[in-house]
Amino acid sequence: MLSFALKRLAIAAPTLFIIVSLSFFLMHTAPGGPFDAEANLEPQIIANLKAAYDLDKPLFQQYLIYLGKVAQGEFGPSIRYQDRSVTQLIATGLPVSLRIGLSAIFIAAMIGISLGITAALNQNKTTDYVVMGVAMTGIAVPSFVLAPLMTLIFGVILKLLPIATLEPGGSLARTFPAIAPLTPYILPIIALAIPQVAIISRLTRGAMIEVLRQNYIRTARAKGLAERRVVWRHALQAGLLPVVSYLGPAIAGIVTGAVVVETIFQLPGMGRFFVQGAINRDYPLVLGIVIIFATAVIAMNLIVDLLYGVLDPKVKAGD
Amino acid sequence: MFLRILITAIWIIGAVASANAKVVFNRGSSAEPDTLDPHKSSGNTASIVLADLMLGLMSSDAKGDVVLGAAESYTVSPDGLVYTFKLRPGLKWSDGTPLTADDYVYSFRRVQDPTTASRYAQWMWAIKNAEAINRGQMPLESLGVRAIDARTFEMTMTVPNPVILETLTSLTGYPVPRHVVEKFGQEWTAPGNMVSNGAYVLKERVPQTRVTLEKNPLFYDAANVQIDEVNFFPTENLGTALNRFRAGELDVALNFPAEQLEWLKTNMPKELHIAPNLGVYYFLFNNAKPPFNDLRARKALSMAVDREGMVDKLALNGAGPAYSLVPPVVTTYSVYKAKIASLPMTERMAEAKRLLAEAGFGPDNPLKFTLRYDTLEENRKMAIFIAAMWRPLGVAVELANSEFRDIQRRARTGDYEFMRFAYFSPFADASAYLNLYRSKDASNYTGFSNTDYDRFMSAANSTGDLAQRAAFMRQAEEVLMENYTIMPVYHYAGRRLVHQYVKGWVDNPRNQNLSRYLTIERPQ
Repeated sequence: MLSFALKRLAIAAPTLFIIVSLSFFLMHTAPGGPFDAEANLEPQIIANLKAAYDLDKPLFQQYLIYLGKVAQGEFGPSIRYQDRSVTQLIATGLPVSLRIGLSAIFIAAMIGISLGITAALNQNKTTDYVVMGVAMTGIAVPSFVLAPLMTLIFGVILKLLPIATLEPGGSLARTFPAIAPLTPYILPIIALAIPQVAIISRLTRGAMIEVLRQNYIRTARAKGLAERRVVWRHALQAGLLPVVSYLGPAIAGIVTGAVVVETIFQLPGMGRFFVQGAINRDYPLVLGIVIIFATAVIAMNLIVDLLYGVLDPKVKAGD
Repeated sequence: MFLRILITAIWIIGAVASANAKVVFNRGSSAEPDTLDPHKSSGNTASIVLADLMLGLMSSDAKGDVVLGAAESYTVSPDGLVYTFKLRPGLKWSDGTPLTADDYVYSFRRVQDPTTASRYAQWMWAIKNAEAINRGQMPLESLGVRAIDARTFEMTMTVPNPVILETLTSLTGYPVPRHVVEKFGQEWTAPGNMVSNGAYVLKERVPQTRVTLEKNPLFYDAANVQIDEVNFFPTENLGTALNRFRAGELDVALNFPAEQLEWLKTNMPKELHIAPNLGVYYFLFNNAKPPFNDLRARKALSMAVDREGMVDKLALNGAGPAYSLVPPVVTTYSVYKAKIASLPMTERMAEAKRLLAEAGFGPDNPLKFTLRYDTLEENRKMAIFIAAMWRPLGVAVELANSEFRDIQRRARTGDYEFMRFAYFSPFADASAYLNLYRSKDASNYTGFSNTDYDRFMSAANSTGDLAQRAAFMRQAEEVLMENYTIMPVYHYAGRRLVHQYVKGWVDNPRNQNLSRYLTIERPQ
């Protein structure tokens, strides 16, 4: 298992290199540069700006300069947010995204798995239909509808919670000062978790239904094991496999890509920097976030593979 | 007696309490400021914050008009070339360091230094040697500015340029504290490091959340500044901005979703502020290529667009139908009135048909071209509306959309036929619009090249006489518009939401609403 993990880590470095190189050149093929959206600038002004960011050099040379910086652990200056370096921007954005993303996915996994099991055990009964109906609604309602709706209800009308940013507000924070710092997290986490609850519960239900039909489950029941033990010890272990393989990339995605929710709630997370960076052609910022994102995906995939070995005896991590 | 004492006591306690309560003002701003270094910022997001932090030689009053700032007076030489500013006595930076004319000399040189890479260095190119310095051809010290003594600053121009006074009120006109910039380098704008000379100082900066300023006790007019703390909240999502405004998290919101206009008119009419600004929405004809190298084609299409109907039907509330490039809110200039504007639409359509036929376009040879616009719902509606108005003319117009950056690229390279464009002038002066259509101007994207026009503009740009200057520019605009070089359709209106308890707010075309002139009488 250790050698498997080491092998995977060894592949990670060249993978990252390829991702960075591809992103670098792909990004430069997008029409327009960082200063092209600013109308009516004199050519000399643009030349001065480009020189300040090495953008006047040939593309390949820019690439080498960038690789050199990355090798030293430096992501360079942000072209757009000149007061801070890309490293500083990521250092402020990543913790916010992690906090919100991980909480959302944790809550979503707990609720989703419970709902999925309940539905599977009551297959084709009313409970099943109700749970899956709710789950379908969760998938169907996009977060850019759900999030503003929630702010309208809980922020504008009931005035319970703050509408945006991570700063406390609303009557809930005033009534219970102890939990005030948590109040701004409530709505974003719910908005992020709901679609995930829906997906996870459907995955769990499908996998559980299949597992519950397996011979070894029948054997377990025939042996006279308690139903609780059959479900929790035997069925769930196999039934969770698809959920685990989904959760890996989902965590990476939700942490770095909660763009819509971050924009609507004005959260200072990575997703907003990523989109703003792409729109502004802020090359160093976009590349820096791509590197973080790629690292997260690679790491999560590795963890999933290792977990697979634990959950499924048929998968031997050494292979 | 006892009652009277009690009342007095309550009154005193009340007065003391209210005197101690900190007055906080929560403003929405468009997005996270790119940088608080005024010489490096691209404006938009940072200008609104910098206007509270920094003070140029000139500044803006509560109505947005240009008034004296750090200067207590100034004189201009008869030829309009030499400006001499006298600084107010006892000016200080917020850390107590005296602010002298040398600070302005340092700052003006820094703007032109090519390594500063200041976007708007070009605004100050009328100052002697500025352009050459910015091109790296001359040393910084050769810039036409000098400190005669600690309180006297002299600025020499190459050509008279009355707009320079307005330029001094904003980004490139702000001084930066040399002692701080040299000590901290790039980090000088960080909270704790940053030193300013305006009504406020930087207190705190939470990325993508807020910029907090607090009153600068060393500001020359601090006694008249009522608001103690200003928060700027970047709210690029307009729906969120509206919700935050409704919940009272914002006292002023910079914009709101266009589709909420009707709701706001019914439910918050007193908070809704719509006022014309310096923007113009127009279309570029590619004058250099067929079919629009033919004046008749340009004129026919321009005549056939019913601006008044459009402003009404597309619910462009507050926007004014445009037949001129320079908007009517530019007060130092008499707005151009196109002859076609006063003709009834039926007559205009008939004339348009006649012109097209004369140019050789008809049912067997329809005028064919692509109308390109940048991807925004309002632009798509506009494109469809215009195409519909042209239908009776029998033109074959194809609609195409591009990303904003692609529109800019096409403009620069002349790779278009008819394209949506907009211009928001940084200055309330006609020259800021009209200079863009001089033959050799880098921003003339139409291929329009007219010797009369160039002659009028260079005459306007070299006279120190304001009335004469305005007259020359007016003649130039007439040439521009009678050549139908561009097709203006409407002049923009700014949309603000301002709570009624914010006092002293005056809508103005330059969108200058400095916090130092406002007061908050928040209901308890």
